[in-house]
Amino acid sequence: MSQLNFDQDERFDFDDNFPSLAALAKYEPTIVERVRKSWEDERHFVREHLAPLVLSEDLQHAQNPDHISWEMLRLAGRHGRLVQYIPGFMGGKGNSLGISMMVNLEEQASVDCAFCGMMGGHGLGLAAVFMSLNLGVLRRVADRIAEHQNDEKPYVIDCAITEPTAGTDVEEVELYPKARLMCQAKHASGGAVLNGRKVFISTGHMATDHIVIMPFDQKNAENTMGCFLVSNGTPGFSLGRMERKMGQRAGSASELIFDNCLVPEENILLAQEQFPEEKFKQQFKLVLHGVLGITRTAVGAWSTGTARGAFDRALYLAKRIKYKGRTLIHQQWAQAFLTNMHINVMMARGAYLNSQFVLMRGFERIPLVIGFPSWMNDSAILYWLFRQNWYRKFLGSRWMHGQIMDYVRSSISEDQDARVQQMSSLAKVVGSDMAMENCQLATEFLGQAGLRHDQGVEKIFRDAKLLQIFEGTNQLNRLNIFTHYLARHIPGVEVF
Amino acid sequence: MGTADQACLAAFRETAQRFAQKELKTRALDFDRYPYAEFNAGVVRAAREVGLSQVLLPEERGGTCQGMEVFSEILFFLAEADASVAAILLINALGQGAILKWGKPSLQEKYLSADLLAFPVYDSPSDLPKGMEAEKKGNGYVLKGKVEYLALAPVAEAAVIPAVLKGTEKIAFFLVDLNNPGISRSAPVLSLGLRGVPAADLETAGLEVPADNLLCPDAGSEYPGLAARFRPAAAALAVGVAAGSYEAAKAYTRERYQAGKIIIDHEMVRLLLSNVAVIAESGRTIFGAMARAVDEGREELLGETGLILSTELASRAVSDGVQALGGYGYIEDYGQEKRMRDAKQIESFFGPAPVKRLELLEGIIRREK
Ligand SMILES: Cc1cc2nc3c(=O)[nH]c(=O)nc-3n(C[C@H](O)[C@H](O)[C@H](O)COP(=O)(O)OP(=O)(O)OC[C@H]3O[C@@H](n4cnc5c(N)ncnc54)[C@H](O)[C@@H]3O)c2cc1C
Repeated sequence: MSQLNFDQDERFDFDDNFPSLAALAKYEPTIVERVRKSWEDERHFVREHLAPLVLSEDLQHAQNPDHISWEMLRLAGRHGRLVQYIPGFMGGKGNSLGISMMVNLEEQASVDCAFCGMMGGHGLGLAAVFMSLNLGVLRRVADRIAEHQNDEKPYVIDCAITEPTAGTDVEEVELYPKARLMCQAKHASGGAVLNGRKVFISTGHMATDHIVIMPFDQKNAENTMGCFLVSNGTPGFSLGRMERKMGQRAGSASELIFDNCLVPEENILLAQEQFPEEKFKQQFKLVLHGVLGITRTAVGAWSTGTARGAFDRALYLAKRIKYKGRTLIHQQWAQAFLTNMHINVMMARGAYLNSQFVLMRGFERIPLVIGFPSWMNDSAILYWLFRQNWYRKFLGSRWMHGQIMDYVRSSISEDQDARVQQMSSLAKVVGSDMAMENCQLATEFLGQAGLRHDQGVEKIFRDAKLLQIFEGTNQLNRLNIFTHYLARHIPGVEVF
Repeated sequence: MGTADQACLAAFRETAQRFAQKELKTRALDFDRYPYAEFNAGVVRAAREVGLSQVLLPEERGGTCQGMEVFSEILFFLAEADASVAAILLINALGQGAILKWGKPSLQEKYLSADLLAFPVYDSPSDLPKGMEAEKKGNGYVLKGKVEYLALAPVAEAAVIPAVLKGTEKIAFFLVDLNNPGISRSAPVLSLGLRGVPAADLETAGLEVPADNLLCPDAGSEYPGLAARFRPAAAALAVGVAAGSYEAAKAYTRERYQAGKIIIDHEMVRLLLSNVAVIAESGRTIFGAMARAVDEGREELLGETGLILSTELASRAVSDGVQALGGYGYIEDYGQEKRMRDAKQIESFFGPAPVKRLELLEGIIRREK
């Protein structure tokens, strides 16, 4: 069985590749040191533990389209990758969604873009739980992840937004009024009843709980949104088909079917109607923007890793393949190709790091999003508190939820929100375009070595294409950048 | 073999279209499951029965003695529905072309009627390191070594393979019978695209072949001529894939609603479609002109440039063909992701894309000296 091999490369020095962080180290040594250590740990993990699985897992999917990569998910669980972003006092590793998350994502993707896809469904779900600001559900989910991370089938969640007839339209709040939605929730005694179908839901067939977003009134979706947690086995909920994808096969893309599915009160993360005050009118937009700001930056990092993965494989092979009697690495045209690929990586990295800094500024008062300071993260008192039932009840109360929402709402200015929107879209577009471009270049310049599965390049090519499509197509993201950056300063301009 | 007359061209076109519609369109995804599903020998046989595969052969060898224009036109229509089947015909025809050009009558007699012939379509024989060596022994040769990624090797009866003649720098083409137990084929290699075109590595520790099986003692200088003849066919393949992607994208975007209108009415979607349209529409004229030049024996730079232009543009455009369908482009149902993989694979026919560019310039400079 073929396996990904790596050269020892001194080339990948932290200071060479993250000059902005290296510069920051002078002013914020603790943060940067934490990032560097976590990055080194990630690098070790992906090269030593993940790499051996990459090609064999992908082959199994080619053989059997119904295969599910439990082995890969177990690997992630065993190595603490499922609790990485959960604060320490909630039982996680406390890397939070800070710089580390992005830098580590790049590292993972450089070895296996599809592994990130598998983790991405879970991550998107977590981002939705974080941004719903429902601490009651958050701590329940966090508990289950930590409790089951070493199971045969580790506990993960997903996030279901897309519907068969509405993809782009549910990626942008402005588009909701025009969307042809087919999912709708209805109030019922003891909770809410969900109906409809969701498609393309990453990790759907692996998840135990599903974070589902749908409105109570299709005609007034943007003001009646609800966010729900649906567990496997709930009557009225079933998994539909698993899509046969071009790549990204480690994670499933699943159809979720709701047929009068009753969600109990405590599993409603957010129902906009519960907060009818005028000040909460924009709450759903805020949640969606927050989620997208984080996840699009993350896709930027993941894409950068993918661009690097293609470059790394190309470089590895260029040192070994002879063409017209001379090893590729000595030929000027090959050097030009490799250099272009390297430039693409550096540009993409610059974009996602910039976006991460914008997130840290935009959400500076929301540690849940940008990371808790270590005194909080590692606090034994908080850890103890989070295990007390009375405290959990208090956190999960409607009153508390309202307080937190109010705090968060008032702490994000419109300007900051716009910056987050435009920079995260930019990171996503630049990253995914560079990822695809590097895959095109790698297959072009390697000839047949780029085409055969056992050399590891063709898989990246197939994996990369998704990056331009999901989290809003790159077309939608371009419109988003226009809206939040250019249009903001052009009164009266019509967008969408 | 001269220029095709219009009636003849139209007849082949119609047969190809009908065959594509009936045999390929609905089954292309099944063929693509190879090597985890059976190789689709039946459809290759059917193509032969309706007269689509032996068109380049002379009548006395069971062919219809047509030129590149007819062949390219056929491949275009087949590739629009399934590039793998079209590529099989092309690779097999390259093998036949080699045997016709260099083979003794006895070899022609025996192998031109073979079901399939394998041919190293991804690289010119002198480019890659010489994995196979041929040593003179008695009246024949002994072959030793490895040939990598040989197209059609898992399913062909015989293969045209390059081997360096021991004691010289020269690379020769040999014809080897793949039923010979002295040669082993690896398990089929999974490819990016054209998955219906089986490929494998060949290896032998010592295969004796008769002297007649030495097809061409100097493939390094003879091969470019053979490849040049087939450039229009490879271009037709790429353009066919782009045309398939274009039609599928138009059909889908006319039905799909987002933001309250059919998405073909969004200008960004039209920009995507325009990228595919450019090559799908102009490509037919380009490969047609390339093919006529071959049939009329004119050596034109259009051969090299047309191949670069059509394969490179097609392979980039079909990515936009996926993009126009959003998430539905990324899953197999509409065939768009397959087309994206197929086009990329075709781009490497006759060598990596940048190498073809370098060779173009080398040729130009040589001629202008
Ligand atoms: C493998 C995979 C995993 C996914 N994972 C998840 C997940 O975990 N959770 C989830 O909720 N979703 C997920 N998705 C869905 C993904 O977010 C959508 O596919 C994406 O948003 C695009 O929507 P769509 O597929 O409906 O395409 P469409 O919206 O139908 O778009 C088709 C084309 O039209 C263009 N277009 C659409 N509207 C406009 C407009 N207004 N202006 C200009 N152009 C427009 C698009 O750019 C695109 O080119 C996943 C998708 C895939 C393929």
